[in-house]
Amino acid sequence: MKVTKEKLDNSQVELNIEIDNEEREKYLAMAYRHLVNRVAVPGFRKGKAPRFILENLIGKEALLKEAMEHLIPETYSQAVKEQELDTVGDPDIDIVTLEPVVIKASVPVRPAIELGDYKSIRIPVEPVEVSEDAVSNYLDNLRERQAVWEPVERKSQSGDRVTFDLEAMVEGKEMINEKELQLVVVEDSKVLTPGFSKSILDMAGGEEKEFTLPLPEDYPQKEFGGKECNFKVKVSGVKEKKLPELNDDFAKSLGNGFESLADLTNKVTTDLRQVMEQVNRRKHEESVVEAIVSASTAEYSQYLVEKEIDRIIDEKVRAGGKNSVESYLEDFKKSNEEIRNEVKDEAQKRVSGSLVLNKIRENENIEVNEEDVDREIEKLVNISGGNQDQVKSSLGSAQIRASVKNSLTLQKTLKFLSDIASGAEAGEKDTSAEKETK
Amino acid sequence: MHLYEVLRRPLVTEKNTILQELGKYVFEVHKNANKPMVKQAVQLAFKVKVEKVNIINVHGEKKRFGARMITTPSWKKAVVTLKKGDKIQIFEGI
Repeated sequence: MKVTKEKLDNSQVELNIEIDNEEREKYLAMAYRHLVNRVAVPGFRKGKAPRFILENLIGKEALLKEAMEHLIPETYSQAVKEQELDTVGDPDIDIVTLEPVVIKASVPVRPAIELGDYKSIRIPVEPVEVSEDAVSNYLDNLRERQAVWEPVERKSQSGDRVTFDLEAMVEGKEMINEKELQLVVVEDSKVLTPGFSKSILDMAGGEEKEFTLPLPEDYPQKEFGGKECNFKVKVSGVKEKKLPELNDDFAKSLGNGFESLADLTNKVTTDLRQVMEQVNRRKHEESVVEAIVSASTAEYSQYLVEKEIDRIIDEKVRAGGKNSVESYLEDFKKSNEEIRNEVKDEAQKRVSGSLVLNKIRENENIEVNEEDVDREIEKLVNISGGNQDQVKSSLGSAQIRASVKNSLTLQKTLKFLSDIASGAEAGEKDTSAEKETK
Repeated sequence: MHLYEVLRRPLVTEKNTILQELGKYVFEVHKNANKPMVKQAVQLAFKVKVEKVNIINVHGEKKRFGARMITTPSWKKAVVTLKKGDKIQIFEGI
């Protein structure tokens, strides 16, 4: 066996494997032994036909084809071993000639990664500030949620909830006849038809009103679309939205053990800060990884990108609640090609990011111990509301362990990098980070 | 009967393949052919030297063919022993 190696772009290697006839004969003999038991030759019991008879019957090519099925994988793996290649993924194999047998195999190899100086990257973490506006906004939201509707003795205004009976006639036919409908009236609301909401503004309880408005063309009931409609409205009550006052009582009414308004404000502030810090942290990590990737050179094969594209599409399909790629594509009216092109950049980014991170993890020997994995799994199961049995079975599952361990290691690596970049490492605290920005 | 009509076909079977190693080749021959005719025909067709010819009459078998019985045709089989070292290629390339 003669093997020549040739490096291609994108960290692919092409192997040229030539197999001499003697070796080929070995595989042919093997192929004969396989085939003779399957092929019925007239005049012979199964498995008893001599080789030349069989060859004449099925042809030499068929025998060779059978031989190739064993020959290719075996010689290929032998060649890979001989050349000491670190392959990832399956090879593309071409048969060049059969006599003598020459095969060409191109295979993606482990990407060569030249890490940039990831320790010198400095990106400061943006300080988190919780503005008063944000807090008061949040509190307003809370009040909004606690709001009560109180009946009032006045004419309806925008934002009120009006209770009314409604009769709607289109060309003498009854369309709606309902009692006690409720509607929050807003001036430019499009409920029923534009202008309807506006028409029941400025009405007090007990008042009646009759008016005619055109229905929109795209009215859900097709037969009425675009026609004039006669509405009869009888208002029975008007309610006003009452927001609770922002005081200690309000804080107490929320439960959760708030004693005073100050308590609540504090809690909101810290909560908001935490959320923002998390977001910031993630952003920071992302930008650090990006910086490292752009400082490093990663050469990887198209094969990895293609696989990542597959994965992304799979995620999208699942996020869209579909069970096949086809139905997803149909929804978005895109061809397979288009969608692949769309996610290509993302895939490339992910591949280079994960390759670089992996390399760094190897360099720095970042590892997660088993107890941490146990703890994390327990936490995850608790969050999802599982019981003790589930914890145990999850702890035992090798698959879950592996994936949790992976994500923990990734987190640790990210933290490691982000710490360096933000200058939190001992000896070069803060100051260096600040200098960099100046 | 012309000599060219004597040999009908070579018989390739498991048993006959074993016989080939002993220099014996088996043919189906014309029903009316006899040993000297087979000898001549083989020598003419394959340019080999024939030592001896054995002839076997294979009787037709009675077989059921649906509701009726039929008899498969009888035929004549000739085992030709060649001079040592001679070979007939035709058996190796049907």
